[in-house]
Amino acid sequence: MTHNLGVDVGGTFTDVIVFDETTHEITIDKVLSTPSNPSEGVVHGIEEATAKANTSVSELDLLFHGTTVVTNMLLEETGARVGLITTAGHEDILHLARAWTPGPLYGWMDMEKPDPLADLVDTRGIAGTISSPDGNETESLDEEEIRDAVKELEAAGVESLTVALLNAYLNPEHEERVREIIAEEAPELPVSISSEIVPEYGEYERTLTTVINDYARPTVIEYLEDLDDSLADGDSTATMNVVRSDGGLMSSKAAKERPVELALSGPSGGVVGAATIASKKGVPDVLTLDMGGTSTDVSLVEDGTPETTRQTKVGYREFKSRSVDVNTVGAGGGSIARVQLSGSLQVGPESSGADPGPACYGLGGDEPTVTDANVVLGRIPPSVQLGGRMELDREAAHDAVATVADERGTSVEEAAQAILDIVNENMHSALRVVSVEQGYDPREFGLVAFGGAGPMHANALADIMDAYPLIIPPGPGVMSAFGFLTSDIQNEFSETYLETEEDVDGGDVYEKLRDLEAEATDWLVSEGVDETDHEFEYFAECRYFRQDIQMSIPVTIENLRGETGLAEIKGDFESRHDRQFGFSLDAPLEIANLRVIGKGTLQGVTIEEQELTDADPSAAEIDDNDVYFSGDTYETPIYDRTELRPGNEIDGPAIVTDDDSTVVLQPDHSATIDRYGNIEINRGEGQ
Amino acid sequence: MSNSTPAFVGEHDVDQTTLDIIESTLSNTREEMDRVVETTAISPVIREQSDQFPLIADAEGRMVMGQFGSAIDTILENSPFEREDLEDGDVIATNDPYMCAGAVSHTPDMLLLRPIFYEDDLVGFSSQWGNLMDVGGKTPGSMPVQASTIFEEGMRLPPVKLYKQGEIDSELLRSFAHNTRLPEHAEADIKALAAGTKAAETRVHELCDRFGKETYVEACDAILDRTRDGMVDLIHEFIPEGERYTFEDYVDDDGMGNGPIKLHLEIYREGETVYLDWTGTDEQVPGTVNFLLNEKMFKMFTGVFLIMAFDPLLTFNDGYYDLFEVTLPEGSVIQPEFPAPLGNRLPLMARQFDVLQATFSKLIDGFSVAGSYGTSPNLVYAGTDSDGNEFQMLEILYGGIPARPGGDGLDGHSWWPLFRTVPAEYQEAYYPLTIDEYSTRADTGGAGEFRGGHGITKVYTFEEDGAITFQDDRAHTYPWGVDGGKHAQTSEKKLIRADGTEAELPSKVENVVVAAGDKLVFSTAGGGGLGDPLEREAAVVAEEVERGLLTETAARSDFGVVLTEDGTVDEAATDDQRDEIRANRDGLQKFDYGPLPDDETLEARIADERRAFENRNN
Repeated sequence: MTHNLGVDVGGTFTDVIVFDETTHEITIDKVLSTPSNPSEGVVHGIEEATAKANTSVSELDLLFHGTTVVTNMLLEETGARVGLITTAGHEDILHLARAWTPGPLYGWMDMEKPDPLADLVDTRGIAGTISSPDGNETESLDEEEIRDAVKELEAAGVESLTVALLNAYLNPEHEERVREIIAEEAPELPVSISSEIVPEYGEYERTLTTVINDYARPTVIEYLEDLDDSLADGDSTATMNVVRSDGGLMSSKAAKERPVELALSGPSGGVVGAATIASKKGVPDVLTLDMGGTSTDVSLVEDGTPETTRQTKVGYREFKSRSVDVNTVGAGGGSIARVQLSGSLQVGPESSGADPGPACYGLGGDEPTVTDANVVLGRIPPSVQLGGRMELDREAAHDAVATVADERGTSVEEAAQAILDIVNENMHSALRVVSVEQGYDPREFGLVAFGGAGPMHANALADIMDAYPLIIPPGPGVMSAFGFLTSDIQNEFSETYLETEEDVDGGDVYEKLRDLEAEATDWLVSEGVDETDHEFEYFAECRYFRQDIQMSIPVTIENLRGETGLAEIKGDFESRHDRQFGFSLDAPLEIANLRVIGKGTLQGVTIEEQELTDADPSAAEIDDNDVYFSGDTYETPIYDRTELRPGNEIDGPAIVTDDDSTVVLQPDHSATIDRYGNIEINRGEGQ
Repeated sequence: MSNSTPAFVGEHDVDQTTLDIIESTLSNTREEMDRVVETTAISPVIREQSDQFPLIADAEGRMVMGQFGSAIDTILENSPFEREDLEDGDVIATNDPYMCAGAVSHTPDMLLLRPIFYEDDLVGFSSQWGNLMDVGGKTPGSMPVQASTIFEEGMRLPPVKLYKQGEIDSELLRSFAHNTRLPEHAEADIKALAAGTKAAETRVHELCDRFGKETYVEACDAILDRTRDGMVDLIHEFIPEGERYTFEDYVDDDGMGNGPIKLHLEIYREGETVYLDWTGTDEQVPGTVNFLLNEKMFKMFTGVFLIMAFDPLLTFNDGYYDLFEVTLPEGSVIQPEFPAPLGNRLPLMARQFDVLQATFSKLIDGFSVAGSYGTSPNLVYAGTDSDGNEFQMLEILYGGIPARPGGDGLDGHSWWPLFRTVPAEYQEAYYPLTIDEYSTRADTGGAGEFRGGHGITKVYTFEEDGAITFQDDRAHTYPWGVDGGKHAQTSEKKLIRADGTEAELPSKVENVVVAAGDKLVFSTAGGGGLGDPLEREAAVVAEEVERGLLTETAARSDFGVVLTEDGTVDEAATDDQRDEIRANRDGLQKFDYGPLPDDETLEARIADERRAFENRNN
């Protein structure tokens, strides 16, 4: 019992990190994912990585597991056949989808609307109503009707069932009773009820979220059971923790109940890891940039804690599940550049993917991509083999970018620079959404960049945003797996409140929060967390009466019973509203939701502090290359990151190559290797 | 006569990449303006239904980014101050359609306009408008069905400075809000709109900081020029020169017994200029359906249609205004004279889009779109509850999206972008009613190779005494089908009293008294179909029957698809049925308007319906 292991299952690769609790040594491994039978690749990765770390599956203490299985299931629509039981008269809820069509005007002409995840054929409306807002039963259930519906749906071949009834957020009794009936009639079918998955108002989103849960459940149950079995075969006694979209952890058992919470399991790990690393360095406020082959995820971390959102979006579907507030933009190394009819240059969201990939892969791709532009400008030196396995076809990259140059009447280098400028701008726009638009000034934040392509673009972005220091952590390509090791057991418990300050006082809110805390305590105990390790955070989701906004205001629970009552919450809300929108209203405060987050701390990894050596990096210099930076070519040294030591200092321009990514240091900037092995980049003197 | 070439056409001294960056930043800014308003407004129409419209203009007042065109010139002309009187931090407000040439087309739409200064120079404007819950007047919601002048439609602000150098004129705001039924809503929503215009100012300042003021201003010109170039190409490629194309369609009535109301459009091209002539459209009507169509906005709509149909990546802006020449006959129902009432302009606004897309369907080879559900139906329910609290609910409803090139129409979706239904759970929590049903109306979309979207039925049970006002259309005329596709079914309204008596209601009614326990069944029209229904894949028809979206009867009679007992396609019987239908019909029509009587009969029917309704309710 000496090692902890983090494993991140992506669409193409599975990344594994092993942490030795005795020596504090970290081992990294990458294997191919196996989408057709996902547990196979995970097991293979775990075996290979433990062997590489000179240990074995049976020696593992804690396992941290993040996966894109649910994400991909939603994007590719490969989930289960779900039956939906809803209130009679509202059967078309998912089909009508709140009537939304995309902008601009005439957006409906081009709209592609996927079919509901629970087919109308498998939807049944049942009698029984709950009144609002008092939550009283106004019509009772017709149990025979329900039994018939369940039998019919099971016979038709549904693989799981959702129960989502109107006003169930006010009173779950009907949904609970339907679940009991299902357990009697079709005990094999997994069932979710909407009042448990999302106990909040909004029937469309609540139904959708619960259906997504059941859409994913059969596959996730099978996947996690296979994984448990394989690990048991290897004599593992390790505790399995699954990473949630909000960056917290839950047990394998809990994950089988609520797979909807795994929709953004993968990207959340990187953000949590970045937050941990930056805090350790004493930079608790950072923006994060995770740039891969097809897309970039950005987020904001304040005071060491990633911002979370209650709205999660995967493809067309936007549902109610808490996730790290990751804003995704179609900008990656494989993003394709095209000149539009009007002459404007567009980069992405279309991507060359892994096959054929960018032109420089030499696999037959001939459209210019971001990676090709980087090759043309010399930012990916000849010594680098992409993915450690591939020779670069520089000529193909040049030819591809030349098509843009021809259309724009510029040199090939200028065209390549324009491609980078545009893709950086797309990422900049994404970063603004999580920062400026939320009322944060990016100049008060640092930037942590990771992902295969992040370190290549981060310096330019840090300049645009004026967000320094720029931090490139060690192993930027496996940041998510690392992040998992830094996560805590975590779940949130919330309830729709919809009360104004005129109707309730601090004492009422206090009682409600304590009730939610009790729920959280029960859950933590069921997850095996010692009572002494429980931690709670309390939030009130606030707005002015009837606004749509929900600002999550942290609550100091004891103060609620004091003289100030709700005044502290209102004050915090008003100042945040004013900061973000520039006005406040003479209107009552409404608390839309109350939330408690229950946490149980785990120690997955310790970040080692190393001694600083001297500043001279020359021992790591392996080559030089001509590199183009906005209009000029510089003779630029190339360093091998594995040979750089804490304390080394580098003046830009420079290129630092690593196993899984390339770091670009721009002219007039300088980098140091800090005591944790991060590359820290700042503007040079006079900048 | 053609317009003269605008001054922004020519060479622009701005680096292409910088131009791309400024363009994409302005495009994102437009979305940010909406997000700010949506999250901070308190009216459900704005917060749940996204009923607000942002734009960013250059210093000349030309819209650089947005989708409804700018009327900044007209607003300034109608204001008591000159352009030189504008100062940093000022925000102009108006909700008078006649003071902005219809840029907002009824009184509940409040428009805010903010001049943007950088280093003491005017570099542009930002503007945002949104639908307030109420601005006073004779009915809750301020959209009376029966009014004879705009004076009955509430408080109107002419263009005045609501903010002066950053300070809100709270007395002005208070005076305005005081005249509405929901003063807190009005104040909060207006402030939210102002926050939206402020967001644009901040972004424009950042662009000027980053690239310099001169570059920003030059870039605005270049963005206009770029769009104009793109539009010139689209016009040459898709609009044939020489021939004249016309289309006619009707709005049912004006809510006072007058109708049908004809719209007539002719489109032709000469050189680079496209002429759009509404001559032949009916005169303004006594009721409130008159639609003050802003000329620039109509040019915008036309351009947006071409862009969305053929080059969806092109930015929309005022750059192409000189390429379109529009004739709007004075005194017609789309150019009514002050003080004609305008409260219920949505049927004509929607029909104007239908007619535009029909005319284009005629003139563009291989591109057709059918007719839509015909308006943005809305419902107001207001009263005083048993505890003495006043309530007022306003809701927009949706219907069948027409079949479109290569695809079915959507059932119960919004033709206007980004709108959403108000959740039933929100309505039940905040208002005294229950929502008993919200469902798809099977068979109401027009049949076709691509089927039109179905309308919806929403059933409300009122729990307190009050009054309802609503408007819809397409109760007498049908959303047409195209290229052999069939017309859709009409809308219907039924009131079921607590004692069980039922009454059909016209599509437009005002202040109909309801009592606790009464039910309203609100059914909207479908969208027309496209292409021969006999060409629709039989398996898809069978699937729709199984999903309850089509009845077996309609599958057989409209699509010629016969099903076996287990619901699968009976291939042989289907072939026979289709052959028989083919043999007995008179070929395929370009447009199917449905079984419309002649104009006089329809006119009489509309007048009779109103008379009967008035007699019953008075």
